[in-house]
Amino acid sequence: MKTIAVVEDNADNRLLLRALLDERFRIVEFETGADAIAGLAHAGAELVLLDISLPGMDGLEVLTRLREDARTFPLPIVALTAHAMAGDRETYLRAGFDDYVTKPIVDETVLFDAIDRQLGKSAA
Amino acid sequence: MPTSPSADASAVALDRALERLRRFGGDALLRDMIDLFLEHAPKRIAASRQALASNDLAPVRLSVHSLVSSCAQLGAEQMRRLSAEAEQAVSSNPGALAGLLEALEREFVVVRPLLAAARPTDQDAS
Repeated sequence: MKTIAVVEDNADNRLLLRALLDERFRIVEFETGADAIAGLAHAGAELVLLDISLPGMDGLEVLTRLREDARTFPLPIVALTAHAMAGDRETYLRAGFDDYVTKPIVDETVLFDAIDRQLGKSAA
Repeated sequence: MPTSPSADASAVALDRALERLRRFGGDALLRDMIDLFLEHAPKRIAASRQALASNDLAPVRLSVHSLVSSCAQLGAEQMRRLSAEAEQAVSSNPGALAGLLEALEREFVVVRPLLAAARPTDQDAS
């Protein structure tokens, strides 16, 4: 079973992601960007779902820090965001995210497809 | 008594969202999501009002942003709209924030009994 890290400060979003994913994946959770940076190097995760709007260090800064660390540099990182403005997807992909999923999650297959796409890419 | 079109639309959004959560994780997920919302939403509104009173807008933005996501997930459409407006107002029109937070509080009073009524019992969820 592959491991997915969820970096999300809202308990309800973590609960929802756990309900959707925990039959297929082992889930490790981080509530803050600082916790994620400290823990991800050793968490054995194969993919990260990273909320953009985190308190303190936001998702973009967390992404930058993870890309600077050789241990976390290659991890596929999927942005999770409640911002769904035109052009957001391109903005986040340009910033270095591998994929982008909007909240609320209405169609779970969008999330599953993003995960499968990224895990498939990293396994290739 | 006939209901207004907006009240009908809100009820439909709520029903759809609750059914979706049930599909995602059964009655246990629906119960736990409602419990978290009823616990956290009033705290986030109160925290926003407190931060606004101190003229500290960064916590307001974070709290109302969290509310946007939580309200959308539960189909509390009017609360989602007000939260999104408040998030926008943090940068574009801070003078509107007090009124928006008051409206959010009022709308929570409307939504709370609807969610409490829809909450599966612990027996349903077991």
